[in-house]
Amino acid sequence: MSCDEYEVIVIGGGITGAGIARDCAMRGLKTLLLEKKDFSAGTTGTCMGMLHGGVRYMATEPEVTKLSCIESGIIQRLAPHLIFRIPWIMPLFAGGTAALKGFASAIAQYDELGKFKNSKSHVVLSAEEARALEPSLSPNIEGAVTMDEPGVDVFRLVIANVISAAEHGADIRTHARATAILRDDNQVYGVQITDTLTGEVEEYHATYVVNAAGPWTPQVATLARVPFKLRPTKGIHIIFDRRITSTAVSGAGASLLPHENTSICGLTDKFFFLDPDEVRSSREEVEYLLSAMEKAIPSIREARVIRTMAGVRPLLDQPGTDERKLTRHYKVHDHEELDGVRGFLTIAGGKMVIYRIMAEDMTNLICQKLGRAEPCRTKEEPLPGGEEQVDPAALADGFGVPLHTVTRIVYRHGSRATRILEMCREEPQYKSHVCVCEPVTEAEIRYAITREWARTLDDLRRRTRLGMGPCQGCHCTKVAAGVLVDERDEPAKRGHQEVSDFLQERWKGREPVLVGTQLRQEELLRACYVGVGGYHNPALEKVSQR
Amino acid sequence: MAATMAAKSGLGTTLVRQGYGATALSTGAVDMSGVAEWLRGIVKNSEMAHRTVDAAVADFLEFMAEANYPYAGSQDESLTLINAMGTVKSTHLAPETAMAGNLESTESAGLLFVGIQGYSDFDAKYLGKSLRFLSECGLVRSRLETASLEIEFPRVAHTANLNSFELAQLLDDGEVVLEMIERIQEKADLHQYTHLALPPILGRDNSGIVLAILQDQTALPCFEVLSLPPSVPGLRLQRALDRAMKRQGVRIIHAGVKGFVESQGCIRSIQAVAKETEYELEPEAVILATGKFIGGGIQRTDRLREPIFDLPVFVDNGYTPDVGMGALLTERFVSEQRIFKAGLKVDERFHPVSPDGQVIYSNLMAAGAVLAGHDYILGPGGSGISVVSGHLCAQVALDQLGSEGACV
Repeated sequence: MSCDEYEVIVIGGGITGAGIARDCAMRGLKTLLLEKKDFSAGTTGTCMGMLHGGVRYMATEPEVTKLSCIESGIIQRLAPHLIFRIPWIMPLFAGGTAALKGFASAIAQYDELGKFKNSKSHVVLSAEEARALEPSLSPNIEGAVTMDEPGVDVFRLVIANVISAAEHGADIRTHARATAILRDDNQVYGVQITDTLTGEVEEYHATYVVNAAGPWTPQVATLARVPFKLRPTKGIHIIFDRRITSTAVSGAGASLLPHENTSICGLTDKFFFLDPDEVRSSREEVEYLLSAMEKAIPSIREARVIRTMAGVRPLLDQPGTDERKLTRHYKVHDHEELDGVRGFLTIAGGKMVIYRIMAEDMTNLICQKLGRAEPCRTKEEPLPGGEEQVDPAALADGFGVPLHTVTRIVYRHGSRATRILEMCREEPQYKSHVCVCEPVTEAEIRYAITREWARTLDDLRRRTRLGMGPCQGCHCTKVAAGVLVDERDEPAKRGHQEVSDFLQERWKGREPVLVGTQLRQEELLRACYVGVGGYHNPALEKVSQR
Repeated sequence: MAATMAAKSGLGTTLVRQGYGATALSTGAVDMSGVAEWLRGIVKNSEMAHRTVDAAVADFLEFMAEANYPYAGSQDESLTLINAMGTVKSTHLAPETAMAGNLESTESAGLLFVGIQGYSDFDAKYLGKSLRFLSECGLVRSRLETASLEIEFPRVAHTANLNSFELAQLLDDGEVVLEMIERIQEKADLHQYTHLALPPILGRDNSGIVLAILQDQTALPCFEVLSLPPSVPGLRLQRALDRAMKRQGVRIIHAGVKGFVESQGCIRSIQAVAKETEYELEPEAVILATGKFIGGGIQRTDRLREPIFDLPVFVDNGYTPDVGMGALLTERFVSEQRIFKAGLKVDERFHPVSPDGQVIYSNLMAAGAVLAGHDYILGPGGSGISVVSGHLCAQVALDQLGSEGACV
């Protein structure tokens, strides 16, 4: 058991925790970021990644919408390589044109906020104009309203914050589950963690422990023996094998967003009071989303769904409030004031897009308590990769790597793409695609392992989109396992563990949607890993156990 | 198998297919474990089951030998073969190119895994590590010492994203094989090893010659590991089956079945459509060998269905409308997933039957993965069921047509 001293320990490697770790480190605080699994493995990794204000909140929480728009503009400036822009079509169904008049004021206000997030104002389209823009729209629409919205690769946004934190001196630990909050009378002084991959137990001491564990916040609070309640809701998305529309489209209670090589349809919103580790999509929820989108895009059921993802929103506790009306505000809690427990702080609620200001508020409180006066610089200093723009075509030419591959590397790594391309120059075989669907090179996989704390195949998925395409890991799982074991100089046993774990993790998302072509793909995947690989063999499972 | 056997038996045979299915994607190995027991459960005759399995295996081996892609093995003795994932697979029939890697036949071995730079489907270093690990923990009975190396493949301009078919095609040229051997010998003293373990790319069309050159020049038993898709040995098997069919006089039509005409419980005609051609076939007997989901023999949309004849689909013995769809899948990936046991239920003469057990069309039979009740991936049964049921369906067709005729 080791023991290190920090000024701040942040528990939770979602966007909020990563943002706090970055801010603390940038202000010179000796910081440790702990994540029980991997960055973005919880709520953050299951959001759509839109950097918008949320026009639907204009009526109820206009201040949240305004803050979101302001922060959206800041993120766009900090990490321009991670940003995409998309027209968002909101079809008007029967009676919608008349109803639109009732929202005219809200929409006008939202347009006004567009200056913060660099968006154009809305446009009202006739049915013909809307269908010319998006031919898959229903012939029954009366017209449509378009919004101009930005989005972000949320996995990469989190890792960019983590990299920045580390470059400013923070220590980073993943797969480090907090098993105890160290407390002496009313003073919290550290965290005991268990490394879930090695079983090692370690203790870290700190002046302040920040609970930024998202939906696991109450569990972490329980470790510190303080009460804390959330009003968590569950949301699921279904993911299609390709970009089935060229614009984002709202349906009757759901939306469809083209994203990378796929389309994402979401989002449900139901109270969820079970263990967040157990959240899964159900067939009923999948059916709800398809039905909701069908009104806008009648052909949606012909498209190929490859998987689902489910997450839990850590919303603030508002007893008696309907799911859809719960606030998107956030709160920084000082448990010294709330419960008389010193050294323990909690942050909860909020939205992905406002993570930076949430982190700033939390770090301000910590600095105030520590008597430190360093100002926040997180809105000025670019995130790693956002320092300068690079030209993918010139890089593709210069490094002899296909443009479509370089474009993806640049999207994920910005100006740091050259580091990966340099690896390809030194070891030309690293240009090989480990994941053909996306495409992900061996160089990028090795980079994520050595420079971005990837320790498992699922970590690699979040860093690079490994295994997220239509084949769902059929080809890349075993190839990536070999690279992982090689780069980390681990025994073959670890490779087999990783294959088993990854297959199981991905299965959770596929199982509710196995129909049509994806079922054919599943037969092939199963034939590979069960029929040939024998991963169902209990003897192999036993010797590969941790 | 059904078409080749039917033609060999003297029946005028036409194969209608849209394209290659699961066979061309497979390792090429044929599992026979549990096949006789499975067949006994259908034909209710133990002696006949064993006799049929023996005959089917013998015919399969003969067809493969005649098609210049010889197989070895038997239904009685299992082979343990290394695969490209670095684990082992128990199977029974395999191409000659894989046989030297049978770990059942050796007490101890020193394996040298030979990889190719830029060809990521075969990670020689990982395979070497993994096989040593499996040996150390007793998962394979042989004591294995392993080593690995990587060579630059001769005559390829690029060093990344090399694919199996490109390499296999290059190796069909004996000169390339010799250059590859030279590169291996430059990097390793082969006297230290008992076997060479190679990627499953030893020629697309001339695998026998490639293997012979390798073994002759290195003086070591050489073998291909079992392949994952895209699979050169799978394609070789498919093409060998095609050659076997042609040799027996099977007419092959590349078309999709779009309709059929039935009357009095018999299929009278089949309509097949290719791009610009329509076929009207009037068979006396029809054997449905359309596979499971990959082949399109069974589909799942809002329900499980057989798309050509709309035959009832069963899981085990349960008719699927009576089996809740949620009950077909479990939360654990490697557990049995009952959906992969979905298919057609047949009588003892392989005629698909209705939920009340009645034969649906008296001149229709079904063979292979389209059958219900077995999961060819998880076994027992495996791909051997396709060989045996195909063989048996051809026999039934011959019996029916030779005596009273299946339909009046």
